[in-house]
Amino acid sequence: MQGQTELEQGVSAAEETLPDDAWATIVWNDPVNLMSYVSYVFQTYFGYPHERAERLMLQVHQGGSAVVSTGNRETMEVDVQAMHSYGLWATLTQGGK
Amino acid sequence: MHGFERTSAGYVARLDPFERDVLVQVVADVAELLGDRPGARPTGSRYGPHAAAEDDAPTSPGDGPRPDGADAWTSLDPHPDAVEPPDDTGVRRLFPDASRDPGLAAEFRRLTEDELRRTKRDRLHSMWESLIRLPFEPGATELELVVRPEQASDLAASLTDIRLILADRLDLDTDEDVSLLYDELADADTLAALDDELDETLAAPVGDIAGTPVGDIAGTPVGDGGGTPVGDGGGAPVGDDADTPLDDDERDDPEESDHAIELEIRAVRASLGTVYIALTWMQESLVEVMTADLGD
Repeated sequence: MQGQTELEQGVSAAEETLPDDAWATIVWNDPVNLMSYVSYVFQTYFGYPHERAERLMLQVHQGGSAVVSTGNRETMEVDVQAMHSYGLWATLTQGGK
Repeated sequence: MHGFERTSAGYVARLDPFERDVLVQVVADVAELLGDRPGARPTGSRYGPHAAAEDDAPTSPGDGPRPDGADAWTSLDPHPDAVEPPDDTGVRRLFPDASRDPGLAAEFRRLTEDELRRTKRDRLHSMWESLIRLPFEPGATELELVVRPEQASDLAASLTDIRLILADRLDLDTDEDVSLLYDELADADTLAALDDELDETLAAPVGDIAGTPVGDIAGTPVGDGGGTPVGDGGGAPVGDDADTPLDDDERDDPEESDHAIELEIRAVRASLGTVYIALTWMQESLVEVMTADLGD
């Protein structure tokens, strides 16, 4: 991962400090998905405001990945499935691992 | 092709009949690629020349259970068998492992892949129908693809799926690979030059853009450099003596033949790359109008 900004480090830290039983949805960078499309998906699927969606999108694009949602396992499975439906590359993780 | 614009009728893109035909074929090929799971509904006839008219009733999304059990996901049968990851690397990218934990990834795949596959296939099918049914006014040189705003998200997702498959065939693994592809094709004459050179080598025309690359999406990787066996698919236009009127001298010259194969690979790659770039542009313009509407 290159060029980590303060923000990215902040979010990475947040991921690391998730409780052991907390689940998260991570979206990974790929060379195909358009930045505008990824931001659009974050806005419409998660309901994030434009600024937050752009920030997460840039974190994916520049940092390689971003935690886009957290919650219980079932909710995260729904989120990951939705990301796959949109063509985004997403994984589930628990406790930041 | 003109990018999408917002109009009172919806989002409108104009394309000429040739572009439409290429698009129809690519959409159909990717849908076929997603429909070939054992036990899934055979899709061989869905995209034939007369499929549009006869295909209305049984395949639209939400038509209820399919007779072959493709709706097992929603039935009482919990679909107990494990689902193996797709062999095809492009298809696998559409249904990636959901976890680094193999057990969790397998479980997720078992529970979600059928439904995801159906969603993607149905979306592609809708796109294919929209394209095949575009009204063509006599004397017009362009067709108008009108997308209602509520359909736009599905179309954008399908464009992503198609581009992911094409990117796999083009070996676009990094942002740099994509940049190189644009550089490679920046010269508008690339395709024409390749075709000319190939024509001279073979003394016969190669398949047109619509015919050559799309047949390769389903099977033959085109980006592996000079070593890719082109003749293993049965449909490859090079090396088929019956269709390729080479002189005996030329046919027996392995160097000449290798050169022709390499040219053919480059021509196919250029064709696929051109489609990829056109679809990227199409999606960019679509997402732009969709995003503009979010702010309203």
